[in-house]
Amino acid sequence: MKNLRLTKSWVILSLLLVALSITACKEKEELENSAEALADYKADLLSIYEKDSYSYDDMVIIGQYFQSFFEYNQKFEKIVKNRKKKRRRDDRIARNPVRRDSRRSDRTDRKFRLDPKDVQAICENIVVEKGVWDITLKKCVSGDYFLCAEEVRYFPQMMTKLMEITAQHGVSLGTSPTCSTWFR
Amino acid sequence: MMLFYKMMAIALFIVGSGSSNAYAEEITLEGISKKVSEANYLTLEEALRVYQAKKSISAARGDLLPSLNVWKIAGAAAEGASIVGIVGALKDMAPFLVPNNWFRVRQTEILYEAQQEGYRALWANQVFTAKSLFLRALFDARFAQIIREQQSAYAEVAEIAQARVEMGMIPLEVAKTFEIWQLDLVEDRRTYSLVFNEEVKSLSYVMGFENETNVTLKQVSLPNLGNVKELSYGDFIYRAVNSSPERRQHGHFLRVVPLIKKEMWWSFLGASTISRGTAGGVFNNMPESEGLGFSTAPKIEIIKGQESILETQQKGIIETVKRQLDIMIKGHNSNLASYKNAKQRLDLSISRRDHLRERLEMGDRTVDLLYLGEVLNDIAISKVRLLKSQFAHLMFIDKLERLIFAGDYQSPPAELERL
Repeated sequence: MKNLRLTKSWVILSLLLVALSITACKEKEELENSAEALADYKADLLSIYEKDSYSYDDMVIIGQYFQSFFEYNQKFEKIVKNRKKKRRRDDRIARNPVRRDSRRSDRTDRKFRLDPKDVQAICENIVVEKGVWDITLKKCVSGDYFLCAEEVRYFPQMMTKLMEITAQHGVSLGTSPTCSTWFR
Repeated sequence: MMLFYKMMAIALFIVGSGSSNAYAEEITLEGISKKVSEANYLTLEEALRVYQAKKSISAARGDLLPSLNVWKIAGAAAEGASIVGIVGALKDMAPFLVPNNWFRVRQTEILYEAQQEGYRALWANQVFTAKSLFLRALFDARFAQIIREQQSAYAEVAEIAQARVEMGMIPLEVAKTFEIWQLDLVEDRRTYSLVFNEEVKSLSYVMGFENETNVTLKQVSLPNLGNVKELSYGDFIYRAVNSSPERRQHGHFLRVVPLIKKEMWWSFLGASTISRGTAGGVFNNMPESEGLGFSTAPKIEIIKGQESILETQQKGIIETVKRQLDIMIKGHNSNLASYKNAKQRLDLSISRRDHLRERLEMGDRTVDLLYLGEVLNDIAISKVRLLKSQFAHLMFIDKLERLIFAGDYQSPPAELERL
């Protein structure tokens, strides 16, 4: 009877651990899906941003790109921040390799790593050049009023944030032709 | 910037409460937004709710950590410190192992953003109310001025009429008619004085001044609408819907719904007792479960029902914004035509009056004084119509700025503010 209770408890604890790992994998998958969608939105934006004036549908396309980029940025920051915490732990482990949890360190490394090639891909696939943003911003203004989504105006801040996040991991955005237009 | 206002508001509320000295204040159109942000009672109340919602996140995060509950520990010990006893006391000793607690933390984070949007909506509405009251009060003050001018114009003609009556040139009724008109104007002035006082008192309240404060209004320069272009609904509709804080707030509520559904599915690992925070009121009636069972499916249906309600409300908000914008644009464009009409009417009335005055000055005794009275009345009506158009323009533009969050209403959505 006591053994049965013990087994039940261990089953519950194992289920919890499985749940936590599923959640972590799901976050990464969500980020990848967002990047795919953003690449499409970027293509849509590039096809209309040079128009003389923006119609309602154009504003929807513009809003879709900049709002999705903001959401992507938030997800990216969240995942990378989690990774940063793990990195700090890894550094501690590196200083004291005898510690038991070095196996956990290997596991988290496989889960997420900020690779310069990934950052390059982010820049080229989903970021728009500053020149594109400049034109879009200018054409979003009519008279005294800004008519597009507020996220358009906040794009430089989003880029700065992206730069800060990647810089914390020793990866520079400046190596990408597209991202470098933002930090000249 | 919004956060700054919120903190200022809270600080001023704490520092300012208790003082009751009467003093004089001049209100300017440009200063309304700032003053409402700092002192409006409803805005302050909402700012404090945002503060509570922010603290709810910290509380929820704190609830993920072990808490000391002597009775639970004693209970676990009584079971012989077995693993079963420990699992039983899991919620207290390791609440972070209960998935639903994590869902609740995420909910409080999203609901904090919803609360911030709620603040933005209420703040903008209060600024809009204050600016409308300010402009209406100024309009009524200028209206009263036109009545005063009309009174002196009638007095002038009444004098001539009295002289003509004394000379037996016109019947006494003509002079009496002017007296009646003048009495009407006195009554109009009295009414407008009361209306003005009521508007200033309401404005004073909206701006958080004490009743004893002697409030004065700074005049605004009136626009010349001759060169103002018509507005197009299509230009503003995207921005109006996109920037609506009410729509955004419902967007945040809808982001919470999947987490509540997840809570239901993961309930077999324990229910969460963590509060959704002050902003979670909209989900207060959602069912909760201590485990998966036959009631889970209908409970999920209840949550889906809430989702549909929120979607319907959001659709209603979008349609309300569209309707308001449509009415505003049509009103604005129609007002431009009214302005031209009123200006032309005023010019014609003035030229008629000047012609009649010239004839009077030349000694023409055939000038009909009652007719002159009607011409003076026409001038007053035209002046009022022109003034109404000018103030209506200021109000339409303010309404547009409220709808698209421009001008004094310029404030980023809560999530962008953190960038």
